[in-house]
Amino acid sequence: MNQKIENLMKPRQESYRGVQPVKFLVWLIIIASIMLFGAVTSAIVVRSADGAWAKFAVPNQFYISTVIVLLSSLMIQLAYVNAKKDNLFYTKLFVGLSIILGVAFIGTNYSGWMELSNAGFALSNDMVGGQSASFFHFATYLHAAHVLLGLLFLLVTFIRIYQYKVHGKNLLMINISTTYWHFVDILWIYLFLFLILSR
Amino acid sequence: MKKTFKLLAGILGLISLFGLLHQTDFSLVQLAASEPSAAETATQSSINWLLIIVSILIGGIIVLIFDITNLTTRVTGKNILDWNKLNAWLCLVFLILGMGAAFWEFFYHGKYVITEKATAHAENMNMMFNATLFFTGIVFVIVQVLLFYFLFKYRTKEGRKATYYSHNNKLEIVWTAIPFVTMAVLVLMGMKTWSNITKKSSDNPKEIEIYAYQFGWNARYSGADNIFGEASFNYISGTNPLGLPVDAEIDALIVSLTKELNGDTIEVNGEPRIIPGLYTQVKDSIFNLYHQSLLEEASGIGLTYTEDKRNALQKKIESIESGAAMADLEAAIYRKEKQIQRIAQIRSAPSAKETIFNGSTYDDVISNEIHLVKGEEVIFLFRARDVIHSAWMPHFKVQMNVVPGMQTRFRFTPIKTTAEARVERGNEEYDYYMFCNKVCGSAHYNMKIKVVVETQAEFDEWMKTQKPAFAKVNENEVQLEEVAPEASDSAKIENKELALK
Amino acid sequence: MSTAAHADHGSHGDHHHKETFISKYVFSMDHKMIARQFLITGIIMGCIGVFLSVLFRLQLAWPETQFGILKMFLGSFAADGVLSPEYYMALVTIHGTIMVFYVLTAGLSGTFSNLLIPLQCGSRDMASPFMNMLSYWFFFLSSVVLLSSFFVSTGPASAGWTVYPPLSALPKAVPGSGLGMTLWLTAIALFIVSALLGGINYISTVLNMRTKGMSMNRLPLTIWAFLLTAILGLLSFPVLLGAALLLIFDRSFGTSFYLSDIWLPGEGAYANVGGSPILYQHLFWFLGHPEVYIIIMPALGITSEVIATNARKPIFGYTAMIISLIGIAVLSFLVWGHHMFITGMNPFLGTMFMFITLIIAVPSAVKTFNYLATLWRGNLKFTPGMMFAIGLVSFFVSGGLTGLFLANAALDIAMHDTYFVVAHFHLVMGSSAIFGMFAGIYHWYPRMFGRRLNESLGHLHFWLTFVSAYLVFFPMHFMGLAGVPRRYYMFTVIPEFEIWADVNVMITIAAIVGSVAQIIFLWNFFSNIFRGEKSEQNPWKSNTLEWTAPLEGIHGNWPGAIPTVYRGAYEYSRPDREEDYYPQHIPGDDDGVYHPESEQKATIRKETVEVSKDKEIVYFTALRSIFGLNKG
Ligand code: HEM
Ligand SMILES: [Cu+2]
Ligand SMILES: [Cu+2]
Repeated sequence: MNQKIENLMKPRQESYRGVQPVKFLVWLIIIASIMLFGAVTSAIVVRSADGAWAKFAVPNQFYISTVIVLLSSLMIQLAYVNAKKDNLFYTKLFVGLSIILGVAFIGTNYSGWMELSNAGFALSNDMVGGQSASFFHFATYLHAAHVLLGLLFLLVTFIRIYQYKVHGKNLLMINISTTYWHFVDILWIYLFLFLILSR
Repeated sequence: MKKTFKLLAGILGLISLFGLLHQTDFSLVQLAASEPSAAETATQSSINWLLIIVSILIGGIIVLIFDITNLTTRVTGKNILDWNKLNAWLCLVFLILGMGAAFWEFFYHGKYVITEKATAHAENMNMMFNATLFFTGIVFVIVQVLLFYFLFKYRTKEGRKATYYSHNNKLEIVWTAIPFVTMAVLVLMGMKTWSNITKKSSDNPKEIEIYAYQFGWNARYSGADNIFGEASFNYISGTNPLGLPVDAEIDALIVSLTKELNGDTIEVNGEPRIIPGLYTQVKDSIFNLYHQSLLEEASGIGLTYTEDKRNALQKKIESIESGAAMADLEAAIYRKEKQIQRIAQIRSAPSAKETIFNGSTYDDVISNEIHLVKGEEVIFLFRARDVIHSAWMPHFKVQMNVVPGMQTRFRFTPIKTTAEARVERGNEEYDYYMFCNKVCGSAHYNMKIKVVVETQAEFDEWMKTQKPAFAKVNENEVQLEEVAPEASDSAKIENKELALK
Repeated sequence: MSTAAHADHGSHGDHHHKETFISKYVFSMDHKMIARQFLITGIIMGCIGVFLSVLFRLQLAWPETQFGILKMFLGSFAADGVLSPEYYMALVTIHGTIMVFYVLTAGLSGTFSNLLIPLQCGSRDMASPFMNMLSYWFFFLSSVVLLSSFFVSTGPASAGWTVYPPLSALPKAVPGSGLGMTLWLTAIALFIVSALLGGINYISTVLNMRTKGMSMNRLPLTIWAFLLTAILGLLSFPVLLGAALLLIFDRSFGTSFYLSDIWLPGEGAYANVGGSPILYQHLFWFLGHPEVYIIIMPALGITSEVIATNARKPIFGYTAMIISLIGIAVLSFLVWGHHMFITGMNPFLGTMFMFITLIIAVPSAVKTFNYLATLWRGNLKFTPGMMFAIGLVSFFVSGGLTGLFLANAALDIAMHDTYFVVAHFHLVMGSSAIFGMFAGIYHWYPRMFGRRLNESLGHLHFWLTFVSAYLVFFPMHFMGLAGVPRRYYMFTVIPEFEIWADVNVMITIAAIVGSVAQIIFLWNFFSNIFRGEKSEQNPWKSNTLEWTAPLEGIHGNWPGAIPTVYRGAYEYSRPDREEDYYPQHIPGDDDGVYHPESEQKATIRKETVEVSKDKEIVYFTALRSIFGLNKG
């Protein structure tokens, strides 16, 4: 199995131009995600502009989530730097911390969703202007789905560090995970700011 | 060896084909004829089988023939069919026949194209259409002729070499610029036409509300007071299908909703009988009881049922067992509670009495025909009850989507009366219609309302015969199409059945 | 799966890894096999789509007539052999969905992008063969899910292929919006994943994995088209996913994104307030319009390649072709509103959409003229592939021109959702893209299967299909202009439309003939996989790289090093060459571009003398001198 993943990752072309093709794939996935969130946020802009749009207080949990996001971005960057220097122990440590922070992020978000719902602003609320809350839930769920995908990337990386498949000369996997994880984090910041401002 | 085998197979195929054709040719004709009796259905089914077999056989035989030509080509190295030459000629033939057919179509079916000037904006649109047709027509003919002519002319020939000619910037700029200029002309003309149709009218056009539902239309006139009032889907009931803000109707609606939730007592054969409300029904015990009785029915008298009835019974049991029936009930409760809440909320607003429930809708006229006055500008205000519909009046060049939860409008001036249209067509029966043109369900194809354009005098006459929607007292005098409570497997029917147990 | 199978076949010649049946034919990661999988699945879906259209055409031609065949296939949905209205709509919906997404998106661009991108760019495989394999299997799964909705007791989705809510969100409004719709949405979500996985691979491969010498301005136009198609897909499919997710939430989780103010008999007033059905339409058409270019651009790319090869001429205006493709790609994101002119949109917005839509006609026109100029003075070889490519050009013109009517917001009032629209999109996107697909299949069949198709059958197939497609769709323009709405179950209830009864019969017969003609193709295609004549290495004497790799198709494509590219893909009939083609990988002492300075003057002068004798092209001589070709 590991052998196979190894093979999949290996550029089989004798040479390539521009960016490493697999790394490029991740950038393309990011573009696709941007389009998805672009669609959702522009839907929010359009819908909030006409008609009722209920105001609600964003639970504090989401602010905590934002801090967690920033921290985990830092962690994964540290992991990457360490991998480059072949500091495998620290790489492991920081990737592990990123994973934990990622899970914590889902957790705080979950508690935030609960609090919001209990305050009457549930996903499905059928209030006049309740669209604001529905969209808030929808957009953050969608982001959480991206976090889960990112966690998958991180987990694979984590396992592969244990197998000594990630090191200074083989940075592809951790590079991909780092890129994607940063993206998910930036996405959160954007989304959160956007949601607060358009709430 | 292989060749002879194939030949044999081909001949056999041909013979069987003729045999089949002999048997089926008269039935082929019958297929197109309408009204086959029920007894014929069985034969029809076999005819269809034959049809399928025949077409496969024909296909097979053609394949074989070509296969054989191919084989001989392979063996002898000589082309029996020179497709280069053949195709070149076929292209020429196609060009001539195709252009001929296109022009024939143009003049034969072209006469059905609606160019009628039944509305004020039709003239402008016809002009726009003709201008576009002019440009596109020219391009169509030139390009298709050149295309097929080139195919014919430059077909490959012995010793011919193509001209190496990879680009010519000037030429390309020219044939970019020409379409660009043409488009610019079309855009400018289009903008003018479009803004003519969509711009706000300076004087106040007459407003008519067009109400769309599965599967029909209503027209509502604002009556003597010229006020439509704020209708809402919250108030819709069997006697108030347009959901007008009529106090008595809404009171009745709330009573019936409350009864549906809490239960009711009715009289059956002179005895009072309790109909359990939705609240009671969701209680486990009753549900289980009902389930039990259905199971008993299924194992008892159910065995004597027809297949359809048995299936229905089975479905009911399944929907209970899968929890779908319960979910339906709960959803119904939620909906009704919400509706009551919303109505209460609207009514409790401080100014509701003056702005909404002020009786301005009582004198509205609801009609099953749209009556318009020749030469009078109208604006249609569209409202939908359930899904998106689209109001389509082809002869008036009017179309607008009708969207639930959103008001759309269309302004136009009819300039030809129905009577004039009848004279023009030499058809005393002719009527204009508005159709539905956004797929909206099973009877979408039959969702229409008659449109009558008449003189002011005729219109006034007609209006006099119309009664206001609601009298000041609570009684509904207008006949409206019945709103069929057609809820196949919804909670409601089960509700009744339960009551009769 | 064997683990060794996909290991470094970058390293020369040794292809002795063991492959099981499964790793070779089922979960293959080889782009050539995946292309074949896409193609065959696409063909099967296409057969289903065509078959459905015949079924509902029967209803339109002979309403209320009983057909045993309907009862046979549809059972209770066509009790007594007459299609029910709900099921009519279901068939139309699934027909549209299958044709647009499954045949012409996955079947067309999936097949040929997979086959040609690595082969024509000179790469060993896709950037990520694994994702490529996933792309196919998501597509397969999606097809299965979609087709499974035929076995649902309430029938498949029946709100039209655009599935506008609220109709698609309310199972009580139409039965097809129950489980059938859920399956439809699931299928589309899977499809989007498949399209994205495929698309990102195509982009990455084209941009990063071209062989030495293959600069962007030497790329075959096919690859340009696939690249831009993939970019369009990458940017638009996520938006459809967003739209679909919102709809899924409305249907299953009680939200009101698209729902508001709904009352249904038996149900009463719904709880939803504040949603907007129009929001869905905006999101849908933001994908929907690029989608039609996702469909047509690969077909145009294939056509460019096939026409140039068989005309034995350079494609005329290579750069202009690329610029117009890019122009189309960019503009196609700005025109979605032309599907919504009559939703009550702001008239000013309508004006903008009209403006941009009409402008998009310019690059399309340029492409057409360039095709004509490519044919001009060519040495046309009428292979079946060439015939289908020509058919595409003809359909593209006929259908494209009617777009100028529909793009006009004012005219659209009188045309929207009529049969005019059906005629328009079937010609410009349905027929022409299908013809592009056939052109590709006939042209690259030897490349895919190493064998040749029966040429005569190919031509027969072409002419039957070509003529019947025109017969089916051309008269529909006039029906539309006479006000006949689309998606109508029958027209006999409206006296005014009864004049079309005989036309409807004619159309249906033509449709049946056209559909039966496809059997010829199926036979030709499937039987020759095994028994066809073995093809020579470069049967069409083409310039592009795919014909330099062994036809039997090995992992890594080339046994030795990947060939280097020395010139553009369209150097046909160069005056300085004996042969009329000049493959990209053959080293030459030039810099890849033909410099006519010295020797061409002579040739051209000679030519002009020759030309002036030729009466028919006297006008072109005039044109040439006006535009300065003769200056050399
Ligand atoms: C055998 C050839 C075909 C025939 C006879 C045919 C016929 C039809 C007809 C008559 C309709 C309109 C039905 C109605 O409005 O009630 C329709 C709808 C449609 N067709 Fe085809 N078609 C064919 C091939 C194709 C192809 C190749 C495409 C690919 C683009 C296609 C895409 C569509 C779409 C998108 C719709 C709209 C579905 C909807 O209204 O939701 N069709 N077809
Ligand atoms: Cu309707
Ligand atoms: Cu479009």
